[in-house]
Parts: sequence; C-alpha cells; structure tokens
Amino acid sequence: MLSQRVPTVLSMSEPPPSERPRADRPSSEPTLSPKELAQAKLRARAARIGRMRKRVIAASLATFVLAFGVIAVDGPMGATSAATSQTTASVASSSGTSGTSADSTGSDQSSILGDDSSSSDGTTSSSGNSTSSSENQTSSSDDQTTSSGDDSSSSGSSSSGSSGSTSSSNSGSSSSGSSPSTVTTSQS
Amino acid sequence: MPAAAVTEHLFWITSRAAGTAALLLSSLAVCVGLLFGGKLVKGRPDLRHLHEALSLATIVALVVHAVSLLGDSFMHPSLADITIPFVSGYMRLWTTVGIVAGWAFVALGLSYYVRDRIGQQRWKKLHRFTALAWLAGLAHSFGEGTDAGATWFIVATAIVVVPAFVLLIVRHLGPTTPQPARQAKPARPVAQARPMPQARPVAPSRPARHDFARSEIAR
Repeated sequence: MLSQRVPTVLSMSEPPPSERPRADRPSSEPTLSPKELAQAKLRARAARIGRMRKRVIAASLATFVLAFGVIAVDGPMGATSAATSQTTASVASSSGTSGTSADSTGSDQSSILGDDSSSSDGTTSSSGNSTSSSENQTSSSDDQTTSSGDDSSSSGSSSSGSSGSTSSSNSGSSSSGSSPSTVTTSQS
Repeated sequence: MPAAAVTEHLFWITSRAAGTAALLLSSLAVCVGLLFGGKLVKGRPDLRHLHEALSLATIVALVVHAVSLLGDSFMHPSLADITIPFVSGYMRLWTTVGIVAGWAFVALGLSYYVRDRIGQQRWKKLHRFTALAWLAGLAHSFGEGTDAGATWFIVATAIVVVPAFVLLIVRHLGPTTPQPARQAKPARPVAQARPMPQARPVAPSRPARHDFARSEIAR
C-alpha cells in the first residue's frame, strides 16, 4: 500500500501523455535503434506465431471433440455389422435346408437387419418387425399356414417363428436348430 | 447413445474421432503447404508456421488414433497389428495402407527438423511424397473407416479434401510459375579491370632432379 503512489490533484488535472501536444514532449526522447526495432519486430512475430499455434491446438481439440460427440451420438459401434454377418450366415443355412420359400425368408431377414441397423439396442422394434414378417409369410405361402401357426404358437419370439415356419415343412429338427440362433444374433 | 455404451466403446470412439481429426488436419496442412509452396499466396510468411503446426497436430492425432486402438476390448489388436504392415488380420489391405501412410506422415513430417543433415534440395524432393501419404490416408479412411458412409463425415472431409485436391492438381499439372529472369551483369570493361596481382614465383618442385635422373635412366 505504501509503495503505491496516491494520485494527487495535480496529476489528475494533467492530461495523459497521449493527449499532450507533440511540442511539449521532450525532444530528447530516445528513438529506437535499428537493433531494437528488429528485436521488437521479432518479438511481435513470435507472439503472432504463438497465437497461431494456440489456435491450431484449439481447432484440433475442437475437431476431435466434435467428431467424438457425433460418433458417440450417431455412429454405429460395429455390433450391427457382426450381427449382420452372423444373421446372413444363418439365413444362408436356413435357405439351404428349406429351399421352398427362400425369397420370402431373405426379404424378412433383410427387413429385420434394416431395423437393427437403425437402432442397435432396440429389441422391441426388431421383434415387432419380425412379427410382421411372420405374418407376411403366413399370408404368402398357403401350404405353410399350418406350420407357421404351430411356430407362432410354440415360440414367443416371432423371427424364430418365421424362419422356423419356412423350414419346418421340410425338416422339423433342422429348422428348430437354426431358428433360435437367428434370434440371438439379430437381437444382439 | 447412453453413457454406458460410450464408456464401453470409449477407446473405439476415441480412435475413430482421432482418425477423423487426423484426416481433416492433414488435408488442411496439405492445403496450406501447397499454397505457400507453390507461391500461390505471397506476402504471408506465417503460412509456414501454420503448416508446421497443422502437421504436428496431425501427427499427434495419428498417434492417438493408433494407440487408442490398443485399448479396444472388441478388436484387441496387438502393438504389431497397428504398427507393422500386413500383420493385422482385420481388413489387411486397408489397414496396411493406413499403417504405411501413418509412418510416412510421421517420418516425412519430422524430417523437417533434420533437413540440414538431409540437404535442402533432397528434403524438398522427399517432402513431395507427403502428398502421396495423404492420398493413402484418404484411401484408408474411406476404405476401412466405419464412418466412411456417414453424411457428416463425407461433408466434413469434402470441405477440406476438395481444395487440397484442386491445389495438388494445379501444382503438378498446371503451368509452372515463371521464375523472374536474372539480369545479366554487364561485363566489366577490360580497361577498368583490376590489375592482376603479380604471379607468385613458382616454387621449384623438389624431386625434379631425381625425375630427370630417372628419365635419363629410363632412356
């Protein structure tokens, strides 16, 4: 506190140095030598480069955080691709055993996969979609109506009912073995 | 996505985000480098420092992109999988392209600091391969990237990649900027030429006498 200078009335009444007329300034004001001028320029350049580096770091971090946020909110996590490959494999095996209505089975599975890719963690939507697929199958194939009815009554999950209904007309044991695996992969 | 899922895939998301950032930063670095390297922008010497800062940020993002994969619980890649080409079994071609591009980026970028040892001209020739590494990185991200089909990724990449492509084409296929012809100095008139200093007296070669003797003997 003591070291600070208390502003006096005289100093407050005086205009600041920038407002003084140039003639009042002492003529012996030290002008910058070329060396000092160069140093000042170098200092300003270093400060400018430092600011630019900070901006690049900030932009890089912002890019990273933005990309992280977008991927975390909207990006697929890769589980759907694994489920896709597994389900496709199971579809291939089931079509190999059944053969009569392979087209309808493939279309149903693709619709289930499409639903999975849109929401990987939603189990209710996939089951709802597969229910409609079993209904489609029941309406499309007349000769499988009884078997699909059996499947829908026996298994609660409908996708197993759809694929099971397709292959149960040919071989019951193989269809019951392949259909639950389809359910687990598509829901995971 | 719930927070639990983000925590579960933390390393995977980190790696993808760092890869995206590396691609965008490297494209910007290539843009800036082509701008001031091709003399397309004059009077802005700070572009060199911007290019350097962007390149260093790219290298950091590349390191994060690779190292964070080590923590992924699904892929479980080893250190060799992410650093040595043709080791990883997951999409081997694109992974190898990415590894080679990453190493090339790091090596070519850091070679700037040892260019005195390499030699300026040799370093400049070497530095041109950075564009090749950038193209390889671009191919890696679109060939293997999980987000390659996402709209936000395509748009964000196109904003920085397309100008870089244009500048690259302008640099390599466009007309080269003509160098200002050096003015030939007028030949100094003979009359004003400085007088030649007096020639030093040639020191007699020591073995002259012996040589003469040998030649005499040889005769």
